[in-house]
Amino acid sequence: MDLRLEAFIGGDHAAFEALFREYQREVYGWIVRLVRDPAAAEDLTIETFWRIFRSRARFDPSRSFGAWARRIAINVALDHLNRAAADRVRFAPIGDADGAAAPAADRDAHRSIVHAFLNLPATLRVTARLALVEERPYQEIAELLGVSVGAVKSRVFRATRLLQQDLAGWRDRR
Amino acid sequence: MNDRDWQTMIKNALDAETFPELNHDLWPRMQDRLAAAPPTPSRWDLLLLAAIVVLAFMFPDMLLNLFYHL
Repeated sequence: MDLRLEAFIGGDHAAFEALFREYQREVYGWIVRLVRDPAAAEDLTIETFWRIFRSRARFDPSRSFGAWARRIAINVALDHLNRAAADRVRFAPIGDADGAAAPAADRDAHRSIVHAFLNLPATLRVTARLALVEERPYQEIAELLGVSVGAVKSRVFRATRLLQQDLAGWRDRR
Repeated sequence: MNDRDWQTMIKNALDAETFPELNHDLWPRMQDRLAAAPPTPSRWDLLLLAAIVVLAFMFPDMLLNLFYHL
């Protein structure tokens, strides 16, 4: 067993600090892609590690710490998105890599898709990002979200249908 | 367009987005959070509390003795 993980489970702060420093950027990266707000992503990264520290006794050291951390991070991000939906917070597109270099029609298309994506309910958006953008296997997504593979397939199907409906108007205008 | 085409189009659009990297260490904030957290009672503390509650129900007179010694 990894001695550092063993020490972490025992409540050793130095071991926790080492894990924090190793994973903080990765955890932040997962969260910011879901919540799209850098300041909130920092707060949620802290919240994720706080939950990790509090539930350390439940961690199975024979499994991947990264996968466990990711599962917690996704749940923290989902809680935030659901709260934000209840508060009717509007999510803004955060910036695009091909920005000025892309033709105007492509930029318009990308913007429309991103806007439609941001209108999806939080659970569909998170599932669709993992499945369609990151192309994670359904089995892995099911484990990350704590749902069945069937539920993941259903969410991806519903997300695709909702995006198709939302983008139908844009496609007709092309 | 079929579902596969739609999914490819969605992937391409969302892949093109860039997100800021974390450019500073969050550990000092994490330390503040750890320090601010209320201390959690250990398993032994909870066990002791449960034993006192059970004994208080079984032997109510014991409470007077307990308060005297506290």
